[in-house]
Amino acid sequence: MAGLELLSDEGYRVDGRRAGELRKVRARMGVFAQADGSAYLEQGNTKALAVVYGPHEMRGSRSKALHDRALVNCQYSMATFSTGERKRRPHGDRKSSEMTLHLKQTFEAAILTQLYPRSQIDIYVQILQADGGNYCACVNAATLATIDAGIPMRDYVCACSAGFIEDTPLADLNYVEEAAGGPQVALALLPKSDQIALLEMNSRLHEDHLEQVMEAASKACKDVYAVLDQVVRDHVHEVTTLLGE
Amino acid sequence: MALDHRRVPGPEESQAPLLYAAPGEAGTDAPGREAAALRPLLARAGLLSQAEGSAYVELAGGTKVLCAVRGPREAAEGRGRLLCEFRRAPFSVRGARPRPGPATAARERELGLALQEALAPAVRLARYPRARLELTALVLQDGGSALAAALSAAALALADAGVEMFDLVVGCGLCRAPGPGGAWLLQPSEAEERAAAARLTVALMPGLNQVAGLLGSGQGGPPESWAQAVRLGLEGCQRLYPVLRRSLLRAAERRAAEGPRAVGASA
Amino acid sequence: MASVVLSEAEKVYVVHGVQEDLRVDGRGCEDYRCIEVETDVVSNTSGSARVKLGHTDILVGVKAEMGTPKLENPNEGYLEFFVDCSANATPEFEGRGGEELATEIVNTLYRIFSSESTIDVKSLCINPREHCWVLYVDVLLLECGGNLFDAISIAVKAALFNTRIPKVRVLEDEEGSKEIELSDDPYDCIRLNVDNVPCIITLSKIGCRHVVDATLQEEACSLASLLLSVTSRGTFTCMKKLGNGSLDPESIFEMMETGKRVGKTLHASLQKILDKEESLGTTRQKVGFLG
Repeated sequence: MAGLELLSDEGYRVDGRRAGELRKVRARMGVFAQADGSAYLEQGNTKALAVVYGPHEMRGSRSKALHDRALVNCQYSMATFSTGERKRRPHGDRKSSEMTLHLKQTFEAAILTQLYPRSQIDIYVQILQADGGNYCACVNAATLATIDAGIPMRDYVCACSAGFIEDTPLADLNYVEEAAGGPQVALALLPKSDQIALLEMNSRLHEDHLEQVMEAASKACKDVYAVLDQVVRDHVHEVTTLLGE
Repeated sequence: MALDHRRVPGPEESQAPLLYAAPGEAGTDAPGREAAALRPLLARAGLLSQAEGSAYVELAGGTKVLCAVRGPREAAEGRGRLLCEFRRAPFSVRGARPRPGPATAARERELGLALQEALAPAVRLARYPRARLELTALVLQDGGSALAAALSAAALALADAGVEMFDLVVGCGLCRAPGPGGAWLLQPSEAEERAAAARLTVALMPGLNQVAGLLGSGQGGPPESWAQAVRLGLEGCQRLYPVLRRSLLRAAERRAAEGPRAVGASA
Repeated sequence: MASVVLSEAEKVYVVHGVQEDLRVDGRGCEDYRCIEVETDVVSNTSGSARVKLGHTDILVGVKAEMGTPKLENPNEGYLEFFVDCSANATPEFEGRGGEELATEIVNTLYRIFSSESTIDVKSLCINPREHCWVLYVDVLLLECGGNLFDAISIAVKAALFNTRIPKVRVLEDEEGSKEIELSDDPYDCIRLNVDNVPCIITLSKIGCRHVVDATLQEEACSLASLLLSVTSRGTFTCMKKLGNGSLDPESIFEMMETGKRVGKTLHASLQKILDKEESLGTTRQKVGFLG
């Protein structure tokens, strides 16, 4: 970490935030008309677009259908221009496949899949601009899109990352902080019941610090929840006004 | 770094020899060519025994295209489909052998699609539900107007296979000579095509007088110029039509003379 | 391609409407839907644009990267096109499902940019035979609601207009080795001249008339269409028949006349929007996907 000071003595981070502060989250639901549900979410400079189709009949081979619940099918892709250096393929590489799997696991935990046996729910997320916290932005956008599609869930899924630099846990890492290579935790939380949908940690972190970092991450997830909830309420309000009710 | 002594090290950078050619040296086109002149065309249908239908078209000056049709074959479901493939033999072009790769494949796919879209209006696909027809056009030698020759050959091969069709499809290539006010030439040779400012391929169903395909691009030209090119191309197609029809008749006669096709012969 | 299924009665309704110069959404045969263009939507690209044409939604990002010139054109840079038919548009595009359509679009883009007068590629050369700018034009298909080609060409033109390539200088020291120096001022950059970049006009034949900017429903009623790429001066750089039907020779000539007329108007209004956005500069409120 030579040269770059990730946390100043006064407690400010490279982009001027405090340790526990989130980046600005802005979101909109119902971006597209043709999809069943869609949402766009900006978390600082990370921009994600999520689209949900379904629940619908199984597409392709019927053998994959599950007799007691719906199949959650995800695809994570990154626009070729989303990263600093141009990407050659939007999806299909190892990193995207891993991300796809993570998303699938997260949403299988949150969606009430047993209500739709033998059917399929497609969740497609696209990163338009990457600036750290891609997984988290995707999960948050996909939550909004799933709500927009009217698919019943146990709770919102809110995700946020946290890091640990200079004995301080930092919430919602940006690209520079991610690239510095410190420990990093990505947490997807169902905030009302405090249940963890997915937890992933990279790099090395002393056991004693784990609790602090988890604390910071779940605090950040709850902050995200407040924002998402407001977005949903505003959207519903807007729609009902348009319908004249 | 240790040098690999088993290899002769080439120069670190290489350059195309064309850069050193004096300007104007390459342009050795045939002088005084008549714009509407067609190159003599040889067409022969039904020359491959393995395929259901086949045709060979050759343009004087070295364009040779072989086309084969397989099917109708049973497909999984849905409406009848016509699948077209356009291939260039590795030895078909002048100069170095083109390196196979995604770029070449994409270009061939574009021409395959053009072939399919131009033949689809002529073939009565509604008569072949749940079936597919597979067509392969192989360019043995590209001496200019390869797509046009492939179009004519493909239509002949389909007719030779006994596929129900509304009409034949005849293809004709054109190119616009470089320079301002360049005239459109019918059935350009490879050299003319390379130097051309714009290229166009027209496909016509001559009996119905319907344009089945159009594919062209190049330097911008006013719509009038392109309209003139289309007219010239359609006229060229009409002139080529009798030749193709005769070759089809000859193939039928030959087959009649051979006697009825053996039933249950190995496909 | 994403398609809709129409019943016979619906098709008759659309065709009869077109005959009377009144389309399902109230437009005439030569009218475009409302086009929304916004440039500079993705900040880590050299240039970007988002175009919304009815339900068709396209995002284009241009990235300039340094590369080596091609052997046959040692003093020119070049453009590379890539199309991603994202699964966002339709579940059919998931995995490799969109590749067929993507290849078709990429081939058409290469075709309309094949003429050397479209973009001044010589200005992309940094030093001959060694370094040049490669412009990666990446098209992302977010939603398709008919008339993809036109929307993509508009978005590509807008993104190229928005593209800013940093200025670099080549320094040569005594031993002849060259060093590339980036200009310190981030606003010191090359802009591209897009006056000659054509736009695609797709004319779909419906019944015995033709319409521009067909919706998905209208595309389902049309057997064949003619794709023309028209420059702002009204010249054509590419023409192509699309679809599985055939066209009458006379109607082709009529379509070419319409294409020229519509193309000129389209270019004029697009240029006006782009100039307006440009003049607002940094004071412009960015809407992006939040609007």
